[in-house]
Amino acid sequence: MPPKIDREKCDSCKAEKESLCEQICPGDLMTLDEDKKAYCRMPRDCWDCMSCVKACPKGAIETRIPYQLGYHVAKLIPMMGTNTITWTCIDINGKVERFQYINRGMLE
Amino acid sequence: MKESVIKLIHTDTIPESSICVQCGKCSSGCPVAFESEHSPRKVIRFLQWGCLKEASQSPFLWLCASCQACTVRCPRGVNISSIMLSLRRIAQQQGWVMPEENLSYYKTFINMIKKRGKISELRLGLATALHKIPSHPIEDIVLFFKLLKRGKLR
Amino acid sequence: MQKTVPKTGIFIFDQGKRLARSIDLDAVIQRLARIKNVIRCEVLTDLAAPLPSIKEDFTSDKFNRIFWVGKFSDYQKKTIQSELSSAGLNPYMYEWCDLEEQGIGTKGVDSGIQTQKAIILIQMTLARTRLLEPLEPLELPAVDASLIIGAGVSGLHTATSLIGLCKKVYLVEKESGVGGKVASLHRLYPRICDPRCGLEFEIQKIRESDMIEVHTLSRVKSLFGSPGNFDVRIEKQSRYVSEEKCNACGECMKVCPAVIPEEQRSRESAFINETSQQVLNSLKSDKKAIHPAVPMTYPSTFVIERQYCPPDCRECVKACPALAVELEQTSSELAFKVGAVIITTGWDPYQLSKVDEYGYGIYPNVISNLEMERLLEDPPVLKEIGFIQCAGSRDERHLHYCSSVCCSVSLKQVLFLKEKLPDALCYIFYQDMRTPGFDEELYQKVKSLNNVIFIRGNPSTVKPGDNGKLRIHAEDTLSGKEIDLSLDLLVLAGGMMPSQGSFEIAQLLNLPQNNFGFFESHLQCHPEESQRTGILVGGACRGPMNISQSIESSHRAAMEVLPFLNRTILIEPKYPVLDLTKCDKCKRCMEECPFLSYVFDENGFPSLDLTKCRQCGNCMGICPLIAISLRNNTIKQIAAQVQAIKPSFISKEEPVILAFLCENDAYHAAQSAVEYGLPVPPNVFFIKVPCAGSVNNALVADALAFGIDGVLIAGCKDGQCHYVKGNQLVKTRSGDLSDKLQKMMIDPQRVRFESLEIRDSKKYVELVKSYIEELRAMGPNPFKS
Repeated sequence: MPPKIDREKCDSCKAEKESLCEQICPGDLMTLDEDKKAYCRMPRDCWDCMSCVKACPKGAIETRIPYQLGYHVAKLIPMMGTNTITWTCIDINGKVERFQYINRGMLE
Repeated sequence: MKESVIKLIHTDTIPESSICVQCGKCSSGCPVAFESEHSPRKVIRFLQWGCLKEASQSPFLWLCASCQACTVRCPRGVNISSIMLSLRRIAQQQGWVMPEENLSYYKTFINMIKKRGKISELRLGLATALHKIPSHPIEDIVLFFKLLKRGKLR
Repeated sequence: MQKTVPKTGIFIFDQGKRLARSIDLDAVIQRLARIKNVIRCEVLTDLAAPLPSIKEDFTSDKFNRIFWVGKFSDYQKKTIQSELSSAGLNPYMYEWCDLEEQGIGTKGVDSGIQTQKAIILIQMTLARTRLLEPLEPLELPAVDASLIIGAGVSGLHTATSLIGLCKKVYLVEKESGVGGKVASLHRLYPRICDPRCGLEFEIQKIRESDMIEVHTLSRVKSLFGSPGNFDVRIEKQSRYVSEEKCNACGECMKVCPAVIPEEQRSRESAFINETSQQVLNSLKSDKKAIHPAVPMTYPSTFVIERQYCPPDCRECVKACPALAVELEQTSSELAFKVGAVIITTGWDPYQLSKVDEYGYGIYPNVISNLEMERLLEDPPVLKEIGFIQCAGSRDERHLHYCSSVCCSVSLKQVLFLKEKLPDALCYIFYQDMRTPGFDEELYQKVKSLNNVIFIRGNPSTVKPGDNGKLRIHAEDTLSGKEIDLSLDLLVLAGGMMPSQGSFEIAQLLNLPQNNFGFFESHLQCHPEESQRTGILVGGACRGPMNISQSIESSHRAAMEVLPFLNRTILIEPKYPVLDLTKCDKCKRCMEECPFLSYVFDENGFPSLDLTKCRQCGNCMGICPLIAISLRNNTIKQIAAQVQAIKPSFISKEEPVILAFLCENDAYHAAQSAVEYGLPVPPNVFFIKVPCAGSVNNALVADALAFGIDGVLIAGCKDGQCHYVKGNQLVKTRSGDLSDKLQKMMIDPQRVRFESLEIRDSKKYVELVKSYIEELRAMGPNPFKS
């Protein structure tokens, strides 16, 4: 499901050419619209890899979970540390689970 | 005293009086200031002290012609003419207008609009004169002829 | 590449056995000795005796970094460092851990808890020590010449200070001669001296020095490069007279037919009378098209203003005995390198014609205070003169601020006027008489003169009166009476605004100006700075000031410029390094650097100008990919410190706070809290950072992910940050992280920013205590194991 951008938080990465979400998306789906806010060009092609969510420095992107897995109420949120990623998973009933992984690639 | 002042008057005129530095530019340029003992600067000074009653009873208040010369020149941006208008309202509401006859002109004006929807200058002059004490009508009649000669009355 | 194994020696210095009273040192040593690669770990009660054996162990490579625990005096620290560096240990290979400043030794805290905390603190610093690397300062070549823009009183004094120190100076001035506004003043108070006397003194030094190049009729065209190595191009207008040959004999002036027309002043006959005609005459200058340099005749070469020359006139060429007139001269460009730039572009008088109620420019006998100086040379006979203070100043429609000197100037002018015209009647209309310091004497003197009347009230308009006089109507606010006067001359005491030259330079060099157009960086501590390293400001282009203040300010600028003129600039190895393999050119480091120290290189990556960098670490804080690290304080090192904290060390329910304290203000507040014996709770661990803005969100995320209950970032108040806006940047960032925490169902208050000033130790303790209460109410961090 396509990523949802908080238009107030998005600051177009102040970049001249490509914003961070645009650079990291493996499917080349993210870009900036006329108001210089990020948006997903082809929502149906999005793989939900969540690279954009992790890359956004302002935390302005959220993915919508597919309805089979939970849809609106459910959320999956990564928090990026220096060499860790902490995932918070909220299911459709509101139950919260958290997972932490060491991501050695970040600091090397 | 200050809090009650703010409640009575329109909030965006009274807070401005505290930024006045009493430079006197408003009084220097006011065309009517020296007809009375008070000047616009003095009235603002009363407000700075929170003396609302003194300010509202100032003889200057009813002479103000709202010509805006003071407001345009004030270096601090105090809106003096709107403070004067607000004070007139307060004076009228609180019954502090002195002497009463100051209001006669305004009352006549408003009543005439309510009744006819327009002002006839001749009737206005006569009506105002009749409300005043006897000596005034005589002065007014002299003035009436002067204005007639200059073609100011239609 | 072979990785060096970090072998550490830990030495706990317990002078007077203080630490042993609060914590169980044996337990600490036992715990530490079990850690891998800790070679030596012992308690010392004295320094002199063990130092030789430490040196011995270091030179025999038993350990390659040392970690000192405890309180050391500055003398002891210096001794240790010099002893060990003589043995070859790099000064960046030590760590110092002061347990007591973190709260160990506070009364009323259980000894077991304190021991645990001490162990954690040591482990934090040990984690950091393992990642230390030997660092050397950089030496960059620099040019020991400087550029001074503007040759008024400030520029001249800065130039003479620098040439007195044998530093080369390029002095650039846009007029044909030096001297600026001060040269056009009549006399100065209190010595009643001619201002040109003081200026001539400096010019003499410049004339005799061979370390200075003065370029008049010149403007700076471009300035590129970095502090220590600026490339300057200046454009020189033609003088049309040869500097080598002209000896200022003046023969050309005698034959020149063209007189430069006077500036436009109203000549409507209704406003002219005898007095105003005399005023106009006094202000007229009959300058010919060829004339000596103005304002002062240095350089001594004459100059021709060709726009006033009649076509095909060659009188001066024919008359000059030295054949010095060269009408074919064209403008030229010069390029040179300098190490630093000082801007002394001065001030311009406010355009009083904008204050239309006073009729400046309409009535010929309404003049400005600057024009009054010219009039005082030879004043016409005047009977009644008025001075209006604060004309166009302290006024929200014109200049909002007070120009500080105009009251003293008007009083001085009254004093001189009364000497020449003792029977004149002077009126001074004022709002406040501002004569600070010893100028009070001037005020008293003028007050005691006959026929000088002070009226506290601002006139509102000036109207034409009979016979070309001026009618003023004012209210004397002190007596409430109205005043009606008829004056021969009215002097408007106008204010000072930044000069046209200042605005041009600000545009050219991209220098920030304050709301009023003056250059300002940090008024209290660094009045000579301009927010661009290597470019300093002095004199009235910084703000309205009198002559002695301008001179002081220019000497200050000259002092501060010296480090850039040293042939080499030493850069401490605390600068940021960018990992280009991680960078994806998002440009955030460039945008947020308060000193614009990053520029694009050929490949579009940010490249740091080391001489401009102030080593604040704000770029490290903002980089979303943590690609930037300060050399002596890398992200890895801080992350290692953060991850070494054991959040359940007191108990699972008792919250643990990690505080990032900025080393300029907040850190001192925390340190002095302990010195004053305030009860600092043991729940807080702090890490010192160069600026609150250098805290990266990833580090905060780490702290939370590893179970720390609350993260406190403490920095300066708005407007007080040493690095301009570090505190605001981190506030916004931590706000973003809080929003994310909210979505993650973690209380967003677990991350907060607070401002602390340097003596706010009580506030610090209150903050920590109330935060602990809040965290207790929230419950432990869900990530706590």
